[in-house]
This record gives sequence, structure tokens and C-alpha cells, in this order.
Amino acid sequence: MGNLLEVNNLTKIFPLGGLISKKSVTAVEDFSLSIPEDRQVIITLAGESGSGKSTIANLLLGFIKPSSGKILYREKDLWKLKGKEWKRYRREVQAVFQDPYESLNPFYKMSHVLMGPIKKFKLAQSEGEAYKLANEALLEVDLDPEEVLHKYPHQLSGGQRQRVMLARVFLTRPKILVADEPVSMLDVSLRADILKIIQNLEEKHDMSCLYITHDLSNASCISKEIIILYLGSVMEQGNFGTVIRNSKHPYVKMLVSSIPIPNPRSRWKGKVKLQEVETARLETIVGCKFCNRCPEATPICSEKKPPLLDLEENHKVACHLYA
Amino acid sequence: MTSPLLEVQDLKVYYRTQTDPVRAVDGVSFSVKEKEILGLAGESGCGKSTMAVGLLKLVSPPSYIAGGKVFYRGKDLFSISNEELRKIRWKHIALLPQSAMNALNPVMKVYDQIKDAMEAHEGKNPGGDLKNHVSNLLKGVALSSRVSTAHACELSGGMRQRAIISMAMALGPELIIADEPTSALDVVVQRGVLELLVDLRDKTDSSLLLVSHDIAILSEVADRLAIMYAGELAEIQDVYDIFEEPLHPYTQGLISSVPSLEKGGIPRSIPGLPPDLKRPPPGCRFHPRCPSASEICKKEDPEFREVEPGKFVACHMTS
Repeated sequence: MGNLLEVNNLTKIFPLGGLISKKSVTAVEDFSLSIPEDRQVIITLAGESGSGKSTIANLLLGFIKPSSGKILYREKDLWKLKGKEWKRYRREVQAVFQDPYESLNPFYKMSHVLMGPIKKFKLAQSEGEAYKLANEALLEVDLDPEEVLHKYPHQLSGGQRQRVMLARVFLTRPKILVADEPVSMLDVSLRADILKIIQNLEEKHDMSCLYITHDLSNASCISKEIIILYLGSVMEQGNFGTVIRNSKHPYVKMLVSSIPIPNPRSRWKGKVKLQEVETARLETIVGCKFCNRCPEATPICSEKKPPLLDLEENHKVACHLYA
Repeated sequence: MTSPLLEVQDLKVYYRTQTDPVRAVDGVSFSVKEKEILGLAGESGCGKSTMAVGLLKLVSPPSYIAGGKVFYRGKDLFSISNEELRKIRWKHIALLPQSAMNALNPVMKVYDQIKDAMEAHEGKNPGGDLKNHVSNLLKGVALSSRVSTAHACELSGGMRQRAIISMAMALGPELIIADEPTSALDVVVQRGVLELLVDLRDKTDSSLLLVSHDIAILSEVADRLAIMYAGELAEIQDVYDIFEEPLHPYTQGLISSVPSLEKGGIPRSIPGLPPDLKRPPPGCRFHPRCPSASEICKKEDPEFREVEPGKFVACHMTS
């Protein structure tokens, strides 16, 4: 069977400055990804701020047009989908974002939020049926429909709001969920619940998920695949455990070793070097994006961009050290 | 035994509202020892930031100090004049408020801002001396002295945060109160900034009160850990002990709700929500969410007491 979603060599360049300015910033460069049709995956897309992870989300959701490269959904170009096919894409690929308060209109009750997709995609024949679907969706995310349906966003806690957003997603039974930092606004003690819901949707309702985050500790709870970005380029990708425990790329090694472990017996060893002066992000780096911070850089690193190499099965790295 | 650098007794900071006050900090007692890093953890809305500014009486309406005392080297900070207190701030106790890195003046160079702060406390200094001092300060936070002539917009988040830390260090304080100093930073930079704060403590023998919602980062650097819940302290212990044997059920819940790359799997969350601090529940404020609550917890507010030397907890169930 083919891939449900296939992303090939996606690049997005944003122009900077005025009409005649030639400056630009490459937010995403040569990014590829595939989500299979016959099994469900939760893929983590990780990177620090400015690594292009949200740009990828926007590209996949069709909010912005790629500069080059293709996004294929059920083997058809996303930007050529029309009418019914486009509507199907809209229904089958859903999103949740970081701040549920921003996604909810303060003037509408939760019932309105849930009726939106039911009407749009004609999921119900009657009003009674529509409410039945809404109730079902709220129960799926462990919310009490009686309590929530008639409330406004400000009457709910952050965790409840994010659950409503997931209930809304669940209504359309999506094939793919693009989750952009879905738990980073929430209190630590509530995050686990949201992660559980996403995992449940994957296991029981055949939904794959692209989990976009800067927080690898949270991602590790539910994800088995990971792609690590740095300034728009993939540094390392593959099986989650392998990439974390057996990191190859100097950037990934540095990143993983800096993640705080909630255990004072395993504290950081050694020290990271902070940069004395910020390197301009706008300058076009010809070689590896990480070369001027890399402790193991060699001359070739600043001259030639390293290709994404297969190290072993399901483990790729973009670094000249392994060429 | 060394006497504490800072001693807080029954501090209360409330917010005035049209009805009942919001009891954001409600009777908190603890001390900061010489040369120690005390981590203060709690969820959003538990009053930790209100307490951080309350310690220095930096309250403005609708918030007010509703009671309690803060002693700095035995001196009662709330009974001295505002002018005297102003002299202690920054020179002896420096505060890095939350998102301080965004508080840099956008139209002033970093050097001029550090100079401003120093002159406000020390009077006019000879120029040459000060320049040298500033570049040493910047060196101390691993910034190039070129940064002194930069404006805030030319610096990255991590660099701005370091510039702010260098400002806090300018007058050689004995205590730094840092509220979420790394929460807007990337992991690698976060680690760098925290290591820097530890370094500064080691070099200058100062103490650090590190306020954060993230107990993972506190476990990396703190000597002792204080846990705050709904305006009150739940527990204070040595950081190794608290992770090995948390005494308060809230601490236990908080620790097991944090995901860890080491452990894997979905952590357990704490059921329920923190209470409304206008009308906190009677008895122990954690009892509606507590797995081991009994009848007494619903009626009596547990006393925050030392159960063993150095181990403080407010729970009826801990003997």
C-alpha cells in the first residue's frame, strides 16, 4: 500500500524586507516525510525556536504555499486538490495548536465549537444526532458533556479547553493530526492527560499524528519516531529511542545531553559553551547549518551541505563525520 | 550552624478584589542559607512569583503585604524605611523578575543600562573604571564585551537573559532571586544559563532563590527544594531526599507527573484543579485532589513543621 501523506523535498523561503529587497530566510529546506496508510504512527518533529517546525505545520495544513517540493495526500498534490477532494483533506487532516484560548472564539459556547465541523462536513442528519455526536466526542476526551457544552471558553481551564479542541478533532475521525506544541501551555500535572488522549486516538481510532514540539521529554512518552530539525534542516531522524540513546549528530548529542532529567542523581555532566556573539541567522550558510557551533566541525562542513545518510535501518543523519 | 541569609516568617501577600481578597501567598515561612541554591517549584497560579516580588516588598495595588516578616541578615525588611529598603534591593538582594529579558530598554545600549542601575545605587562613578567593570561583568556571563554597545534587539533571547543577569550581578549581591530565568530559552541555552548561575554562586559565594515551574531543571542545580501549592508551602527538603522520598502527597504527584527521557511512558497526572485562592477549601488546601486525604484533612489546616532536621512538610498524614 502507498503512503497516506508524502512530503518530498519541501522548501519554504520567506522574502524579507521591501519589494525590491533580495534578502530572504530559508525556514524549511529539503524536508521529506511520509505517513503510511496501513498503520498508525506518532512522529515527533522536534527543534528549538526558529528551526522551522511550525512552518512545516503550516505547509502541511495548506496555510502557506511551498517554495518548492511537493506534498502528496493519497498520491495527489495538495495544491491541486479541488472540491470534494479538498474537503476530504480538510476533514481527514486536523490540527491542534499550542494555545487553545486563541483557537476558541470567546463569544461562542463549546456547543458551537463542536457543531461547526458537524455542519461543515454534514456529519449528522438531525439536531438530535448532532448533539449525540458532540456528547460522544466529549466523552472520548474525558469531559462531562452536561458540564462543558454550555460554557464559554473563559469558564474552562486550559486543560479542558485543549480537550475540547481534541474532541472537535475527534468528531471528523481524522487520519492525521498535526499537533503543534499541544501541551506546552498547560501545567505539568495536566499534560499527561492530553498525551493519553492523543495516544488513545492513535491506538483506537486509526489516527496518525505529527507531534511538533521542543520538549523531547513529553514527546518520548507517546512517540516512536523522531525528526530533529535545526535552522530548517533535518539533522537526524529515525527510531525515537535510537536517536536519543545513540545520537550521532553533534547537535543532537548536545541537545539530548542538555535535557533536564527530573532526578538529582543524574545531573548534567560537563558544561555547554555559550556563544559569545550571535551569528547572523540571515546569512546563507552554504555547508552544514550547525557548522559554526559544532565542536567537531572540519573544513568541509562549512563548504558542503551534508546529505541525509542512512546509518542503519530507520536511522538517518546529516553529518559529514559519517560520510 | 550558619544563620540564614534570608528568613521569611509567615509572609502573606494578598490581592484586593471587590469581594474577598485573593490569598496568593498565605503564610509562608522558610529561609535561604548562605551560598545555597534554593529551588522553589509550583504550578502556575500557586503564588510563587507573587512571593518572589513580595520578599522585597515590591507590591503595588491591588496586591499588598497582608502580614509576616522578612529578615535579611537579621534586619527586618518590612519595618525599615522605603529608602533603606531601596538601598538593599539590587545591592544586597537582586531580583530577576519573570521575563526580565524583555525589560531591557529598546533604545538604550546595554552599557548605559548597567551604568544607570549602578549610578542609582552608588552615585556617579569615574567613566573608565565603569567600562572595565561592565566588560568584566559581561565576561562573567560569557558575553563578548562588544555586547555592551549593542541594543536589545541585536541580541538573541539567551544573550538578553545573560545581559540581565550581568546587570543583577553588577553590585555584587549576596542573594539573587530569579523567577523563571530560563523558561523562554531553548534547551541548550537554558542549560548554559543555569550553569552560569551556579558558576556565579560558586565564584561570588552568593545565594540563589530559583523559582520555576519545572522541577526537572531545579533537580539539576538546586541544593534544597521548596514546593508551593495554592499559596502555601507544602514541603521543603534537600533535593536528593525530596526526589527519593517526597513526604507531601502533592510533591509525590508533582514528581510522578513529570515526563523523563530516562523513564519513558506516560507519567501520571494529578486529578482535579488547584483551588480558587479567593475561597480556598477548608482544612488542607490539597485535600480535594489528595489520594490519601482523611477526615482531619478536610477540617484542619496542617501546620508546616519540621518533622526531621531539615525536612519540613505540611501534611496530617506525615508523622
